[in-house]
Amino acid sequence: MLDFKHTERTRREFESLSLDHLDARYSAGLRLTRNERDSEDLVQDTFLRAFRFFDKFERGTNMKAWLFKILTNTFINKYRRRVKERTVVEGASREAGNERFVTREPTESSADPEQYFFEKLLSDDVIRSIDQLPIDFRLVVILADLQEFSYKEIAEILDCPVGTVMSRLYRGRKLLQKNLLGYAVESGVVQPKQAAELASVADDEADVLEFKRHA
Amino acid sequence: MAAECRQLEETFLHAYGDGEFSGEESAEVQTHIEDCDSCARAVRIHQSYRAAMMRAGVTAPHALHDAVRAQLVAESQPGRWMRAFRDPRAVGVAAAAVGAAAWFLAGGLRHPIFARPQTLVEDGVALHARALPLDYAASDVGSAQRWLEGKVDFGVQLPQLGQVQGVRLSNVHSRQAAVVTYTLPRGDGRRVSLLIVDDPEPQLSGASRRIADREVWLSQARGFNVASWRNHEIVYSLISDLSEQDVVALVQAAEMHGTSTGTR
Repeated sequence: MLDFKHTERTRREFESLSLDHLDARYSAGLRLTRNERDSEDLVQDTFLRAFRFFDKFERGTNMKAWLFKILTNTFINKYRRRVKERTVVEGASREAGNERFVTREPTESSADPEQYFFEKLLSDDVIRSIDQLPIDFRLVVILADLQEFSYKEIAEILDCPVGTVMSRLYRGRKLLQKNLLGYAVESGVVQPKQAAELASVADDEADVLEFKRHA
Repeated sequence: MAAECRQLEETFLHAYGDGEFSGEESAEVQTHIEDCDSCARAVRIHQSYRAAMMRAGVTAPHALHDAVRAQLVAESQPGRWMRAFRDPRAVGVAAAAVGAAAWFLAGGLRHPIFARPQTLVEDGVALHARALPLDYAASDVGSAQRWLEGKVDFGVQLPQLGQVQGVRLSNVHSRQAAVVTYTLPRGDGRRVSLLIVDDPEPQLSGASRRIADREVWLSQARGFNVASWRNHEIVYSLISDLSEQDVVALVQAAEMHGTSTGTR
C-alpha cells in the first residue's frame, strides 16, 4: 500500500504553508475555548485534520481562512460541549479575578474620553470582555477583530450570508464594548458620570435578546 | 445619533472602518462624515476599539510548535508503520528507528537551529507571573484536591502552604499540569503558585538541597525563586517572590503536612 498523499514532500509543503499561522490559530483558539489546555488540543487537532485533508485544499487559495474553517468546525463539534461544562466555575472565578484590577490608579479624565477610552484599557480587560461574549458573537468578533478576516471570508468560514456576519458582528461589538465600558469605569479610566452618556452608544440589549430568540 | 444614522452605523460606518469598501464607496461615507459629527465620532470610537482589540493576541508556547511538527512527522508515515508491524523482522528495525528518532529529537532540541525550549522553571514562572483567572475557586486544600481528581490523570497531594485561592489547569511541554494558587497569611497576603506536572524532565534544574528528607532543587528565573521536588513521579514547583531562605522554610513546613496527612 503506497501512500501518495502523505509523502515527505507533501508534509514540507503543508508545513511551509501552515505553520506561520500557528500563533494566530492558538490566539483565536484560546479566546474560543478560554482555556490553555483546550486551546492547545484544538490547535493540534486542527493541524492534524488540515494535513489529512490537505489534498482538498486548493493551492493558491487562502490557507489562513481554510485553517480557520477547520478550527471552527473542530471547535463546534468537539470542544463546545466540554467548554460548556466549565463555564459554571469560570463565572465565579472571573469575579474573583476582577478584584485585582480595582486598585489601578485612576487616570485623569481626557478631553475626548469617548474617542480614546478603549485604547487606555489593559489587554487583560479586553481579553476578559471577549471571553464573556456568547459563543456566536465571540466567533465573529474573533474572526473580524483579532484575525482581521473580511466579511466575505467570515461568511465562507461560518457558512452563512454576509448580512448575518454584519449583524452578528455589530451586536457582538456592542455587547463587548458594554463590557469594556464596565472595566473602564471600574479602573477609573472613565468617570461614572461620563459612562452613563457612553452607555447609550453600547445599549442594544433588546436587539441582542431578539437575535437570541431567532438564532 | 439620529435614527437614520444609527442604521448607517451598522451597515456602513463599521464596514467603512473595517476596510470593506472600495475607493468610491469609501469616498461616499467620507463625504457624509464631514457633515455629520455623530457619525464622525462613531467612526473614531470604532477605530479606538479596533486598536484595543489588536493588542489582545497572544503567541503559542514553543512546546506547541514542537508538538504540532512532531505530530505531522508521525502522521506522514502511516504506511511505513503499518508495514513494520505486520512484518516481525521489521519490528526490530522500527524499534531502532524510534530510538534513533528519540535520540535525534533529544539532541535536536538542544541544537541552536531549533527554538530554545523553555525549561519547567521558566514555564512555571511565566504561569505565576501572568496570574490568569482560576478554573476553580477553592477555600481549602481538601476541596482543591477533590476538584483536581479526574481533571488530571495523575494523583496529586497538595501541601498546606497558606490559604488556598484556587486551581487552574494548564499545559507544560504538552503535558497536563495544574497550578494551585495560595496566599500566605504573613507578608500581606503574598501570592504563591504551586505548579504540578507529571514528570516532565528527567533532571530538575537548579541547586539540589536536602530539605525535610527530600531532594529539593532551588533555582531562579525572572526575579522569582523556584523550589522543585518530586513526589511519586510528580514534580511540584513552588514559585514566589519570597527570599530563598523563606522559600526553604515554606517547603520545610509544607512537606511535613504533605507527607503526613495528605488531604486535610
